[in-house]
Amino acid sequence: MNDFRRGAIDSLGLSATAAVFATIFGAAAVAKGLSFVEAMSLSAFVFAGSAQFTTLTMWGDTLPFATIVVSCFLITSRNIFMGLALGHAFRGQPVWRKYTSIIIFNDISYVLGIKNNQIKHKYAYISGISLTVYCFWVIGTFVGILIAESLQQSILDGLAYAGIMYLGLLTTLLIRADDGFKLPIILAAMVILVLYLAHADQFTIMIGGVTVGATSNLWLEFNQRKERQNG
Amino acid sequence: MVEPWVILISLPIVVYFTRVFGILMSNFVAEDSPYRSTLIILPICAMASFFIPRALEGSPSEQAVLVVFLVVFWLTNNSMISMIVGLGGLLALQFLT
Repeated sequence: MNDFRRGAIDSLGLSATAAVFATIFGAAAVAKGLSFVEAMSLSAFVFAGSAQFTTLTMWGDTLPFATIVVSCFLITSRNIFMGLALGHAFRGQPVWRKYTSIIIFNDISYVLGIKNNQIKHKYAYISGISLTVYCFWVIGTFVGILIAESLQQSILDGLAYAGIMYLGLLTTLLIRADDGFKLPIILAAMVILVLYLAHADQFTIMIGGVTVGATSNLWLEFNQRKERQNG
Repeated sequence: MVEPWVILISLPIVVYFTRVFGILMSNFVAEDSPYRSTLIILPICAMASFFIPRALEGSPSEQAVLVVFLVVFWLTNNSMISMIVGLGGLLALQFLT
Protein backbone atom coordinates (compact mmCIF):
# COMPACT_ATOMS: atom_id res chain seq x y z
CA MET A 1 0.00 0.00 0.00
CA ASN A 2 1.13 3.52 -0.77
CA ASP A 3 2.70 4.90 2.44
CA PHE A 4 0.96 8.27 2.07
CA ARG A 5 -2.43 6.56 1.92
CA ARG A 6 -1.46 4.25 4.75
CA GLY A 7 -0.59 7.25 6.93
CA ALA A 8 -3.96 8.82 6.12
CA ILE A 9 -5.82 5.62 7.01
CA ASP A 10 -3.80 4.94 10.19
CA SER A 11 -4.57 8.42 11.50
CA LEU A 12 -8.34 8.39 10.84
CA GLY A 13 -9.35 7.50 14.41
CA LEU A 14 -7.11 10.10 16.04
CA SER A 15 -8.05 12.66 13.39
CA ALA A 16 -11.73 12.19 14.15
CA THR A 17 -10.99 12.71 17.86
CA ALA A 18 -8.96 15.82 17.02
CA ALA A 19 -11.90 17.07 14.92
CA VAL A 20 -14.23 16.87 17.93
CA PHE A 21 -11.76 18.89 20.03
CA ALA A 22 -11.44 21.34 17.11
CA THR A 23 -15.23 21.70 17.10
CA ILE A 24 -15.10 22.53 20.81
CA PHE A 25 -12.31 25.00 20.05
CA GLY A 26 -14.35 26.67 17.30
CA ALA A 27 -17.42 27.00 19.51
CA ALA A 28 -15.37 28.25 22.47
CA ALA A 29 -13.59 30.77 20.24
CA VAL A 30 -16.90 32.28 19.11
CA ALA A 31 -18.09 32.37 22.73
CA LYS A 32 -14.88 34.25 23.61
CA GLY A 33 -15.69 36.88 20.99
CA LEU A 34 -13.41 35.83 18.13
CA SER A 35 -14.74 36.48 14.66
CA PHE A 36 -15.10 33.74 12.03
CA VAL A 37 -11.87 34.81 10.31
CA GLU A 38 -9.90 35.01 13.59
CA ALA A 39 -11.00 31.56 14.79
CA MET A 40 -10.40 29.94 11.39
CA SER A 41 -7.00 31.67 11.05
CA LEU A 42 -5.88 30.23 14.38
CA SER A 43 -6.76 26.71 13.27
CA ALA A 44 -5.58 27.04 9.67
CA PHE A 45 -2.28 28.89 10.24
CA VAL A 46 -1.26 28.17 13.83
CA PHE A 47 -2.54 24.58 13.74
CA ALA A 48 -1.37 23.66 17.24
CA GLY A 49 -4.33 22.60 19.37
CA SER A 50 -2.66 23.01 22.75
CA ALA A 51 -1.38 26.51 21.85
CA GLN A 52 -4.77 27.49 20.42
CA PHE A 53 -6.66 26.46 23.57
CA THR A 54 -4.13 28.32 25.73
CA THR A 55 -4.38 31.44 23.55
CA LEU A 56 -8.13 31.32 23.93
CA THR A 57 -7.86 31.46 27.73
CA MET A 58 -5.92 34.76 27.37
CA TRP A 59 -8.10 36.28 24.64
CA GLY A 60 -10.02 39.34 25.77
CA ASP A 61 -10.54 43.06 25.25
CA THR A 62 -6.86 43.68 25.96
CA LEU A 63 -4.50 41.15 24.43
CA PRO A 64 -1.28 40.55 26.39
CA PHE A 65 0.98 40.17 23.32
CA ALA A 66 4.17 39.06 25.11
CA THR A 67 2.35 36.58 27.36
CA ILE A 68 0.46 35.01 24.45
CA VAL A 69 3.56 34.74 22.21
CA VAL A 70 5.86 33.41 24.96
CA SER A 71 3.21 30.88 26.10
CA CYS A 72 2.73 29.78 22.51
CA PHE A 73 6.49 29.32 22.10
CA LEU A 74 6.82 27.34 25.32
CA ILE A 75 3.89 25.05 24.51
CA THR A 76 5.02 24.41 20.95
CA SER A 77 8.71 24.13 21.88
CA ARG A 78 8.11 20.38 22.00
CA ASN A 79 8.11 20.63 18.18
CA ILE A 80 11.86 21.26 18.45
CA PHE A 81 12.34 17.98 20.33
CA MET A 82 9.97 16.15 17.97
CA GLY A 83 11.92 17.46 14.99
CA LEU A 84 15.15 16.31 16.63
CA ALA A 85 13.81 12.79 17.17
CA LEU A 86 12.05 12.35 13.80
CA GLY A 87 13.88 14.85 11.57
CA HIS A 88 15.77 12.07 9.76
CA ALA A 89 12.50 11.18 8.00
CA PHE A 90 12.65 14.55 6.20
CA ARG A 91 16.19 14.04 4.89
CA GLY A 92 16.62 13.70 1.16
CA GLN A 93 13.49 15.71 0.37
CA PRO A 94 13.72 18.87 -1.76
CA VAL A 95 14.08 21.95 0.46
CA TRP A 96 10.80 23.54 -0.66
CA ARG A 97 8.86 20.34 0.02
CA LYS A 98 10.52 19.79 3.39
CA TYR A 99 9.84 23.29 4.69
CA THR A 100 6.30 23.52 3.38
CA SER A 101 5.22 20.11 4.65
CA ILE A 102 6.38 20.82 8.21
CA ILE A 103 3.75 23.57 8.43
CA ILE A 104 1.25 20.79 9.14
CA PHE A 105 3.60 18.46 11.10
CA ASN A 106 1.81 17.69 14.36
CA ASP A 107 1.79 15.52 17.49
CA ILE A 108 -0.17 12.71 15.83
CA SER A 109 2.30 12.62 12.89
CA TYR A 110 5.12 12.37 15.40
CA VAL A 111 3.54 9.66 17.55
CA LEU A 112 2.54 7.42 14.64
CA GLY A 113 5.85 8.15 12.88
CA ILE A 114 7.87 7.08 15.92
CA LYS A 115 5.67 4.04 16.57
CA ASN A 116 5.68 2.60 13.06
CA ASN A 117 9.34 1.94 12.45
CA GLN A 118 8.75 -0.60 9.69
CA ILE A 119 7.41 2.00 7.23
CA LYS A 120 9.65 2.22 4.16
CA HIS A 121 8.87 5.78 3.02
CA LYS A 122 8.45 7.51 6.34
CA TYR A 123 8.22 11.00 4.86
CA ALA A 124 5.21 9.98 2.71
CA TYR A 125 3.65 8.22 5.72
CA ILE A 126 4.08 11.29 7.96
CA SER A 127 2.74 13.58 5.22
CA GLY A 128 -0.36 11.40 4.87
CA ILE A 129 -1.00 11.65 8.61
CA SER A 130 -0.29 15.40 8.78
CA LEU A 131 -2.62 16.26 5.90
CA THR A 132 -5.46 14.10 7.26
CA VAL A 133 -5.20 15.60 10.77
CA TYR A 134 -4.98 19.11 9.30
CA CYS A 135 -8.13 18.67 7.19
CA PHE A 136 -10.09 17.19 10.11
CA TRP A 137 -8.88 19.98 12.43
CA VAL A 138 -9.86 22.81 10.09
CA ILE A 139 -13.24 21.24 9.22
CA GLY A 140 -13.86 20.59 12.94
CA THR A 141 -13.19 24.24 13.75
CA PHE A 142 -15.50 25.34 10.94
CA VAL A 143 -18.30 23.14 12.30
CA GLY A 144 -17.67 24.46 15.81
CA ILE A 145 -18.02 28.05 14.62
CA LEU A 146 -21.24 27.20 12.78
CA ILE A 147 -22.89 25.48 15.74
CA ALA A 148 -21.57 27.91 18.38
CA GLU A 149 -24.70 30.04 18.24
CA SER A 150 -26.97 27.09 18.88
CA LEU A 151 -24.99 25.77 21.86
CA GLN A 152 -26.07 26.86 25.31
CA GLN A 153 -23.50 28.71 27.42
CA SER A 154 -23.78 25.97 30.07
CA ILE A 155 -22.60 23.37 27.54
CA LEU A 156 -19.63 25.55 26.55
CA ASP A 157 -18.79 26.10 30.23
CA GLY A 158 -18.96 22.37 30.82
CA LEU A 159 -16.56 21.70 27.96
CA ALA A 160 -14.05 24.37 29.00
CA TYR A 161 -11.86 21.66 30.56
CA ALA A 162 -11.83 19.74 27.24
CA GLY A 163 -8.71 21.63 26.12
CA ILE A 164 -6.79 20.16 29.07
CA MET A 165 -8.23 16.75 28.24
CA TYR A 166 -6.80 17.14 24.72
CA LEU A 167 -3.40 17.99 26.21
CA GLY A 168 -3.69 14.84 28.34
CA LEU A 169 -4.58 12.74 25.31
CA LEU A 170 -1.51 14.00 23.42
CA THR A 171 0.77 13.44 26.42
CA THR A 172 -0.56 9.88 26.85
CA LEU A 173 -0.09 9.25 23.12
CA LEU A 174 3.55 10.32 23.38
CA ILE A 175 4.10 8.10 26.44
CA ARG A 176 2.46 5.11 24.72
CA ALA A 177 4.64 5.63 21.64
CA ASP A 178 7.69 5.37 23.89
CA ASP A 179 6.78 1.94 25.35
CA GLY A 180 4.88 3.24 28.35
CA PHE A 181 5.93 4.83 31.62
CA LYS A 182 9.67 4.76 32.15
CA LEU A 183 11.53 5.89 35.24
CA PRO A 184 12.77 9.15 33.62
CA ILE A 185 9.19 10.16 32.75
CA ILE A 186 8.02 9.45 36.30
CA LEU A 187 10.93 11.44 37.74
CA ALA A 188 10.22 14.34 35.37
CA ALA A 189 6.53 14.29 36.33
CA MET A 190 7.48 14.43 40.02
CA VAL A 191 9.79 17.40 39.44
CA ILE A 192 7.06 19.18 37.44
CA LEU A 193 4.63 18.60 40.29
CA VAL A 194 7.06 19.89 42.93
CA LEU A 195 7.91 23.00 40.86
CA TYR A 196 4.21 23.69 40.28
CA LEU A 197 3.46 23.39 43.99
CA ALA A 198 6.41 25.72 44.68
CA HIS A 199 4.71 28.29 42.37
CA ALA A 200 7.54 28.25 39.83
CA ASP A 201 6.81 29.95 36.50
CA GLN A 202 5.98 27.92 33.39
CA PHE A 203 9.44 28.27 31.84
CA THR A 204 11.16 26.95 35.00
CA ILE A 205 8.70 24.05 35.20
CA MET A 206 9.42 23.06 31.60
CA ILE A 207 13.20 23.36 31.90
CA GLY A 208 13.10 21.42 35.19
CA GLY A 209 10.99 18.60 33.73
CA VAL A 210 12.98 18.32 30.50
CA THR A 211 16.36 18.44 32.28
CA VAL A 212 15.46 15.76 34.85
CA GLY A 213 13.87 13.52 32.20
CA ALA A 214 16.86 13.79 29.86
CA THR A 215 19.54 13.49 32.56
CA SER A 216 17.98 10.47 34.24
CA ASN A 217 17.48 8.75 30.87
CA LEU A 218 21.13 9.38 29.91
CA TRP A 219 22.27 8.03 33.27
CA LEU A 220 20.16 4.86 32.88
CA GLU A 221 21.42 4.37 29.31
CA PHE A 222 25.00 4.82 30.47
CA ASN A 223 24.59 2.23 33.23
CA GLN A 224 22.88 -0.28 30.93
CA ARG A 225 25.69 0.09 28.37
CA LYS A 226 28.27 -0.37 31.11
CA GLU A 227 26.52 -3.54 32.33
CA ARG A 228 26.39 -4.93 28.79
CA GLN A 229 30.12 -4.29 28.36
CA ASN A 230 30.95 -5.97 31.70
CA GLY A 231 28.59 -8.92 31.18
CA MET B 1 -2.54 46.44 23.90
CA VAL B 2 -2.24 44.97 20.40
CA GLU B 3 -4.70 44.31 17.63
CA PRO B 4 -5.87 40.70 17.14
CA TRP B 5 -4.29 40.54 13.68
CA VAL B 6 -0.82 41.09 15.20
CA ILE B 7 -1.36 37.98 17.33
CA LEU B 8 -2.77 36.08 14.35
CA ILE B 9 0.38 36.82 12.33
CA SER B 10 2.85 36.29 15.19
CA LEU B 11 1.63 32.89 16.40
CA PRO B 12 2.04 31.00 13.08
CA ILE B 13 5.58 32.44 12.80
CA VAL B 14 6.45 31.25 16.33
CA VAL B 15 5.01 27.76 15.73
CA TYR B 16 6.69 27.45 12.31
CA PHE B 17 10.01 28.50 13.85
CA THR B 18 9.81 25.68 16.44
CA ARG B 19 9.04 23.15 13.69
CA VAL B 20 11.85 24.35 11.41
CA PHE B 21 14.39 24.60 14.24
CA GLY B 22 13.78 20.97 15.28
CA ILE B 23 14.21 19.70 11.71
CA LEU B 24 17.37 21.80 11.22
CA MET B 25 18.89 20.55 14.49
CA SER B 26 18.15 16.95 13.51
CA ASN B 27 20.81 17.29 10.79
CA PHE B 28 23.35 17.03 13.60
CA VAL B 29 21.82 13.84 15.02
CA ALA B 30 22.39 10.47 13.35
CA GLU B 31 19.38 8.23 12.77
CA ASP B 32 20.95 5.49 14.91
CA SER B 33 22.24 7.90 17.54
CA PRO B 34 22.84 6.37 21.00
CA TYR B 35 20.97 9.39 22.38
CA ARG B 36 17.80 8.60 20.43
CA SER B 37 15.85 7.30 23.44
CA THR B 38 16.70 10.52 25.30
CA LEU B 39 15.51 12.61 22.34
CA ILE B 40 12.19 10.74 22.41
CA ILE B 41 11.79 11.48 26.13
CA LEU B 42 12.16 15.27 25.64
CA PRO B 43 8.80 16.02 23.93
CA ILE B 44 7.01 13.93 26.57
CA CYS B 45 8.58 15.96 29.40
CA ALA B 46 7.84 19.26 27.62
CA MET B 47 4.21 18.27 27.08
CA ALA B 48 3.82 17.01 30.65
CA SER B 49 5.17 20.32 31.98
CA PHE B 50 2.10 22.01 30.48
CA PHE B 51 -0.40 19.28 31.08
CA ILE B 52 0.23 18.57 34.79
CA PRO B 53 -0.10 22.19 36.05
CA ARG B 54 -3.22 22.83 33.96
CA ALA B 55 -4.81 19.55 35.00
CA LEU B 56 -4.30 20.51 38.66
CA GLU B 57 -6.09 23.82 38.10
CA GLY B 58 -9.42 22.03 37.45
CA SER B 59 -11.99 21.23 40.10
CA PRO B 60 -11.70 17.83 41.89
CA SER B 61 -14.64 16.46 39.88
CA GLU B 62 -13.10 17.63 36.59
CA GLN B 63 -9.82 16.01 37.61
CA ALA B 64 -11.69 12.77 38.37
CA VAL B 65 -13.26 12.82 34.88
CA LEU B 66 -9.80 13.48 33.40
CA VAL B 67 -8.34 10.48 35.24
CA VAL B 68 -11.17 8.24 34.00
CA PHE B 69 -10.68 9.60 30.45
CA LEU B 70 -6.93 8.85 30.54
CA VAL B 71 -7.37 5.40 32.12
CA VAL B 72 -9.96 4.43 29.49
CA PHE B 73 -7.62 5.64 26.74
CA TRP B 74 -4.65 3.80 28.26
CA LEU B 75 -6.59 0.53 28.56
CA THR B 76 -8.50 0.59 25.28
CA ASN B 77 -6.06 2.57 23.09
CA ASN B 78 -9.24 3.91 21.48
CA SER B 79 -9.34 7.70 21.40
CA MET B 80 -13.01 7.81 20.32
CA ILE B 81 -14.31 5.75 23.25
CA SER B 82 -12.21 7.66 25.77
CA MET B 83 -13.31 10.97 24.25
CA ILE B 84 -16.99 10.02 24.51
CA VAL B 85 -16.41 9.03 28.16
CA GLY B 86 -14.44 12.21 28.92
CA LEU B 87 -16.68 14.75 27.20
CA GLY B 88 -19.78 12.92 28.42
CA GLY B 89 -18.39 13.10 31.95
CA LEU B 90 -17.70 16.84 31.69
CA LEU B 91 -21.22 17.53 30.37
CA ALA B 92 -22.77 15.31 33.05
CA LEU B 93 -20.85 17.25 35.71
CA GLN B 94 -22.16 20.52 34.31
CA PHE B 95 -25.79 19.43 34.49
CA LEU B 96 -25.56 17.51 37.78
CA THR B 97 -23.86 20.24 39.80
